[in-house]
Amino acid sequence: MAAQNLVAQKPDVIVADPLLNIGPAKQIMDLCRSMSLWPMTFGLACCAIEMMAVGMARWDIARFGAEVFRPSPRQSDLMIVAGTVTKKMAPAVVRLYEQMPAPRWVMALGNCAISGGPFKFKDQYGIMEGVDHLIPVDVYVPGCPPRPEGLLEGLFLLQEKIAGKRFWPNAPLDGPFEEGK
Amino acid sequence: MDALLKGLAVDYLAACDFAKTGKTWQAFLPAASLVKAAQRLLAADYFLEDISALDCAEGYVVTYHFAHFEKPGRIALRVVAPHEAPNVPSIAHVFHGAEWHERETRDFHGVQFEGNPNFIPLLMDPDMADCFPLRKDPKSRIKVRDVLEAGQVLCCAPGFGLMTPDAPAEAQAPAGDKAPA
Amino acid sequence: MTQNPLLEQVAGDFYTNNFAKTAKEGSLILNLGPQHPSTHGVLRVVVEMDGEYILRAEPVLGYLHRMHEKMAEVKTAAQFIPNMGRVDYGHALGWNWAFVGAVEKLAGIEVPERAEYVRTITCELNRLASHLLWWGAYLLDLGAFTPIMYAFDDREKILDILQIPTGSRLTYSYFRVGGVAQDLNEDCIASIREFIPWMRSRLPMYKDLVSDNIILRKRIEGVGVIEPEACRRYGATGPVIRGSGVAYDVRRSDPYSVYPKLDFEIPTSELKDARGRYDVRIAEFEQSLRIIEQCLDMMPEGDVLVKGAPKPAWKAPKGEAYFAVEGARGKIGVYLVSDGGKTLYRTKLRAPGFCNLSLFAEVSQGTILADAVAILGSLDLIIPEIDR
Ligand code: SF4
Repeated sequence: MAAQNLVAQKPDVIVADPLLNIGPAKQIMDLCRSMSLWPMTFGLACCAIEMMAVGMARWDIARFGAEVFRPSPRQSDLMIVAGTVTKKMAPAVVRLYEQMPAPRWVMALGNCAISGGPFKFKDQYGIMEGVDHLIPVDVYVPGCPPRPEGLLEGLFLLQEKIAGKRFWPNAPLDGPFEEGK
Repeated sequence: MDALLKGLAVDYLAACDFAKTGKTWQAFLPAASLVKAAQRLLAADYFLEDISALDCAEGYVVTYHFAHFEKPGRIALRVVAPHEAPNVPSIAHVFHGAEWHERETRDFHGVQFEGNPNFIPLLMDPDMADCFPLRKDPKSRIKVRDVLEAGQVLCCAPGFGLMTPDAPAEAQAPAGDKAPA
Repeated sequence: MTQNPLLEQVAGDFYTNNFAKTAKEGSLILNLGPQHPSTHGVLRVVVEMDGEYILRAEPVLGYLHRMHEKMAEVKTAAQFIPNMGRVDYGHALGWNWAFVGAVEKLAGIEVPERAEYVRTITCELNRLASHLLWWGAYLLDLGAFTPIMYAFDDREKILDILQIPTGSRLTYSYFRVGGVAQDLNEDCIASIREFIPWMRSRLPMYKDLVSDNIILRKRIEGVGVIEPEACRRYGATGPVIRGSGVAYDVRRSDPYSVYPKLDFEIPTSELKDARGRYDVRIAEFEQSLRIIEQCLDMMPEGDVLVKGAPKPAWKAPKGEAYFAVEGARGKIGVYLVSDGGKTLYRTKLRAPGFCNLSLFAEVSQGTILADAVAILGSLDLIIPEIDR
């Protein structure tokens, strides 16, 4: 049961044509989807704590419609891979992904999920170097761990990808970081 | 401590400097007296901190650290398991927590603990349970006496040359039935 | 050399098969995890059930095994410090401390006094954050959603403070061999002083809202009784053993750093159940605040990093060292063996959660499944630390 054999093959995933395939209706659907993403509570390691923090009062992901964290993959459409994916865990990740109903999206949160992060070193034997070896990833959020702002930005990008338009203002480039200087 | 181990076959017993290495006593035991020593330590209200193995030129040095809830200090029991047949009796039926520590040591070094009730891979994926990541390659193995603190020797069995400070020739080791340092 | 004859017959899942072999006729094998909301990450527990009762349980580990110990053989001692923040992200500074403490012991490095105080303050703040995280998550497991909102609100305040000296929110690598990376500045000290009364004012609210709540009490009182004797056999430490009435705390029993100079108590509870462990952690809030307060008053001026502190390429001298500190979950131990080479020869991390979790199989026997979740939560597990 080598992890490699379990890789979900993207081209094989056939998504049937939507019943209602009229441009404007689809746009409305996409808009609704992007504004009410239901992420799966799928915490793997340290990054999961930041994912929890994002759901709590200070960062409040509910402002952007994605606060309904579901423990069951069957009820969610966004998988936030928050942490290191080990080879032992890989089959479970793939299975969870396959249990999610389409349309579904994946966010790789943190360096571990992107590329193995700090745990890629000579003689490492146990981790997947990036969850995109297993399942297709839509948004990559770098950081170790990414700050909650990073996760939110990742969510905006995903919304942009789904609905074709960014809804929230860009973070000011010379804004708060320069304050007081 | 010597009272605790009285009557048991002990290869080497030394008092160590707690401030320097973090242990107060260390003892090398022949594999046969390990279980008995563990039973006595349990009766004397010690608890098992951890089990770890060290891959040395002379074999795997399996170290058991014990501490006490009321008294400060730490005792290290050591058993040397030869590379060819790394077998050590299990103490999992004395200290139940040892079961996991022993399985972990098996995962990392391949030391076999005979009598462990559930001797299956703990941390490693069963698919690659035989890769023993912490085994060193034979060239880079070090000598036990080079790294472990000798301490103040209280007794040393004749023929036990592992800790003899300077044994230029093998012949000297058996002869050195120990003048206390 | 095939060590394990069981490996030959893998069909389906190895662990379930192995577990099912000794199952009783007519019992049900249930697999919890590795993705299960109540297991705090990727713990997996295979249980054998008779109706609603657990006959046998076996935790399956390794789903987050990242091999820190091997990594320590690839990196130099100073390069390994960032790993310590990732072993246990709940109490990262405790691990930082255990590791740098072990290296200091090995090399015989003295730490400036101010650095010891800075370490104590930050470490205790981190302990508070860790307990808050546990508190929120535990109550979430038990079905109460509101407390975690409060807990994270307070926790964010601590993170804001720790962010000033450490520069990160979660995975700190702030301690250095021979001191800490930088001093606490005025801002930071002022906000700690502000924070202490704030946190104190929250504790009665926590008590009224949650600790005395009848639903919580019914869920955790009398559940998961652990005798001190069992703790000894399994090597459990931290709030688990203090919840069983043994006042064992490394800060007192093998005192390190400035703890001997400080006046604080070791809360214990005679209840021995999940409630006991809950009470101990809640009582530790107050003790940590006391420690921080005293440290702020006693802290001398001076350097926070010893002169000539090790550079990244520094080689540790030959020898061995074991250093233990009291983490939020129990006794964190780091055992080092160095052969004087570029990297450490062997690094062994003793994770408190590892030993605490090994108790679970015994404690959960004969309880109902819902209680097993309450027991699991009361052990305060952080999986990366257990799997390392
Ligand atoms: S990216 Fe960093 S913080 Fe996130 S899981 Fe990996 S090690 Fe932990």
